[in-house]
Amino acid sequence: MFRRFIYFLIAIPLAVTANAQSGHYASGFSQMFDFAWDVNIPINNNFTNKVSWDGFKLEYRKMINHDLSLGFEVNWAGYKEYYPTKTYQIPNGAITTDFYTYIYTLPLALNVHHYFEAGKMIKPYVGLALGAMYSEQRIYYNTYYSNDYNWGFLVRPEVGAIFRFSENSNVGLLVGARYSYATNKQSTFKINGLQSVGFQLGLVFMQ
Amino acid sequence: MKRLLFFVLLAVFFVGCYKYPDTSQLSTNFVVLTNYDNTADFTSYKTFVLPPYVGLISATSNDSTLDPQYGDQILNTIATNLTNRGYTEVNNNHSADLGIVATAFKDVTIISGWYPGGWWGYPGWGGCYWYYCGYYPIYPPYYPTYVYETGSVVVELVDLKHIPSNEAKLDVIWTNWNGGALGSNSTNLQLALNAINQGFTQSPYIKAQ
Repeated sequence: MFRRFIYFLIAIPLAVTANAQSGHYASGFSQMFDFAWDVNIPINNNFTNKVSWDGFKLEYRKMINHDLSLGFEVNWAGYKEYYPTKTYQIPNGAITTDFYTYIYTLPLALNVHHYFEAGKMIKPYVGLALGAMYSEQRIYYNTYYSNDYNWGFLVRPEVGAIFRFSENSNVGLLVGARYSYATNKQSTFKINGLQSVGFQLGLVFMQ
Repeated sequence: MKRLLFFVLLAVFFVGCYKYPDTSQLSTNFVVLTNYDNTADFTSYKTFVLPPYVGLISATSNDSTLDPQYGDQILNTIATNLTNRGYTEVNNNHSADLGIVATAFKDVTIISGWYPGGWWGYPGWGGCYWYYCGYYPIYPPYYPTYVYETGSVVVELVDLKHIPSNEAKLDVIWTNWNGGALGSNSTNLQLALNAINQGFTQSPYIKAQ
């Protein structure tokens, strides 16, 4: 984990390199990069229903007019759940085992955000992201595992706010919440769409 | 160059994000899978005959049969389960309705499906199935592909009552695949016996009446 953190300390300055003026934007920045802890709660998912605590989000936004930005984001979440030993009926047979189920999700999305005037320190926003989501599903049982992967179309509305640490600071705190729906399907694992509610807390680097 | 470095770092990060379960938290009991021929009427069979030994397929042993100190206990467990379901054991395979095939797999990985001829690729395959040389087993077309690998014990019920006179084939009406990580021989034996018992438990349709 520490090694990953170091990678990000190196990567962040490389991502934000522009030098546009930011004073006339409702967001208070011309472009930004954020890295956030991303906690996700799956909804109506029969495969794994446990909360993903160790997800994260990387995002870049660039203002295109006074109160609107376009951006790109990628995030990662891993869900897992343990099922104790049980006999499951299958067509023309049955199987008895305990197992872990895992779902990994990697959404890649373009987003648009609208910012509201709420003072120099606080920048609330609403946004919508559209994109594709790669997902991998695995079942681990005894020494074996079965897996599959698929892609789905992603829709993700969100709300949030950026809190500057001070009026002149280019660094701030991002707090956000959003709902995600992706069309990923897997018939064997009875997955028909992946939904989640996510909460983000992270650092924002602004220019 | 900076952008390239950024994306390389990102790729490294994501690859490192896969989580793997602590498999020591999983049960050591074998995974028990059973499949049956949905056209078979298990109550139409009344007798069964055991094979003289449990077959062994292993990449690390030249033996083609499992040591009787282990194999006999496997066969006894199968016989006990069938007897409890109302079947009668006979010694003459020509008068039995059901034949039993029991095979242990160790230190090998073989993928086989239901298709005719799947058994022909097995190491140690001598061209005989049950007592019928030149015959091959037929599995229902909806059976899954099995992976026989380290620590698998497979029990099959073969229909000896309806052997077609013009075809060299035997219908497999029930398959019980049990597999998992191996420990000591005594541990493996107990895991196999437990798994076979579970295989019958989850197959209540196997009954003579």
